[in-house]
Amino acid sequence: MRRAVLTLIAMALCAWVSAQGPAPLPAEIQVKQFKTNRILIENLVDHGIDLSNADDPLERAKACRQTARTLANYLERAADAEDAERIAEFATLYGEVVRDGLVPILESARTIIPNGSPRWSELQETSRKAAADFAEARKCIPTAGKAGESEKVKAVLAILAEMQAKFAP
Amino acid sequence: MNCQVVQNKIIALADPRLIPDALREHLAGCAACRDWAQQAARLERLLEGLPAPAAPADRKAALVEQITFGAPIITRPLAMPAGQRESRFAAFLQRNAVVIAGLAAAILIAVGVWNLFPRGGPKPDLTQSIPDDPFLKKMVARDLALAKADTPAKRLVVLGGMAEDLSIQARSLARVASADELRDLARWYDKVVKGAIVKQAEKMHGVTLTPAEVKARAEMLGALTKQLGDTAAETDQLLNSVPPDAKPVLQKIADAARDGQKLIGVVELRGEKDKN
Repeated sequence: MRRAVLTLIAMALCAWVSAQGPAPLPAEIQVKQFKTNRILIENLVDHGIDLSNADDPLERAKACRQTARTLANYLERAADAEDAERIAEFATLYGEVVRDGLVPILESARTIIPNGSPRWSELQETSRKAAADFAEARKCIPTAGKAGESEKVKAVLAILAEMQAKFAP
Repeated sequence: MNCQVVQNKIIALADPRLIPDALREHLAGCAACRDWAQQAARLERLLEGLPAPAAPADRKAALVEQITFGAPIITRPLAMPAGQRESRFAAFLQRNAVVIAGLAAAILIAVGVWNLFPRGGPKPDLTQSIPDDPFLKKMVARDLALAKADTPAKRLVVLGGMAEDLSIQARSLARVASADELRDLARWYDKVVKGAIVKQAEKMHGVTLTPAEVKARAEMLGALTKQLGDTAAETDQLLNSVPPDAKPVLQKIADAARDGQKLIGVVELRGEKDKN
């Protein structure tokens, strides 16, 4: 009987251990993160509302570029401060927005907007600006010094370099 | 009620996904217990997914008797989920008891040994760097989803999620953030609900739909209205357990959720009139 009880307790503990996800961040860290990212989050909420109001692909591309640019600005600030963790965090988020948002929207817009129309020119201009933003964001990531030697920074830089090949509007 | 009592009560629930109001109040203000409850709910879900053959209905009673027989190591029966599932679980447990006990013991010993020895390397200095912000990541993911959403219906789903993220963040920071910070969260919540969700709900009525689409739309708006109602109720529940300067801010979130409910109701009503 005792064995059965011990088995049950051990099994419950085993299941409990295996069910544990990442530990929640302590409250003071959560507040610190919120204080640090407060303005950025407000920008993201506003960009989200703009995106929801953008009905056609060109407008969506423009709004999505704004989201990407905001993240790129924070990436540049992190690079200036040589904060490897923040560089990696913003570069990852920026890369996701470009790869999964901006590039597919631009591609989709190219199939919808008639070539040679005024909106086509506008689309080309948006694509050109987005590509320039991307090149600039990539360039600002340090490759030397304390931040440049961080494995995380090296990893995101490699991802962005890979994206560069695909992101050639 | 202290955390230990609350956590014991949660694990004793027949279904930890259904938290009674008395415990919910504590959870609203306690991240550790909330996490405990989430893990318990997750465990419940995993147990449901265990492949196990059906067992006789009296198996639970037999198991409980087996457990409680003799010395009262456990003073009350362990809480088990109701129905056939427990019998399956009990049968699974009995069949594999030795293997599972061995595995569990090995894991526990490994965890114990791991914790016995101090690990090398300096502890991270929290004043120098902070870990990646999951809330920031969520907001970027919402923007990304909105960029991909090409219909008002899809946007409504994402905006509903964004509103939910903001209200949860406000509730979880209600005890520790400043009133100014909470006010920002309340303002953004209001903006998303009234400035975006209601607008998309209106757009959904501007198009001709098939009867099936009309039904789907009604269901979606119904779910959204319910979500806003839940947010208002959960925020209300927290009001008595937060610092005084956080109260009016949380009240604003609850009010915005109720306003959103009403506005979506008006939009639905207008849609019905247009249809007729």
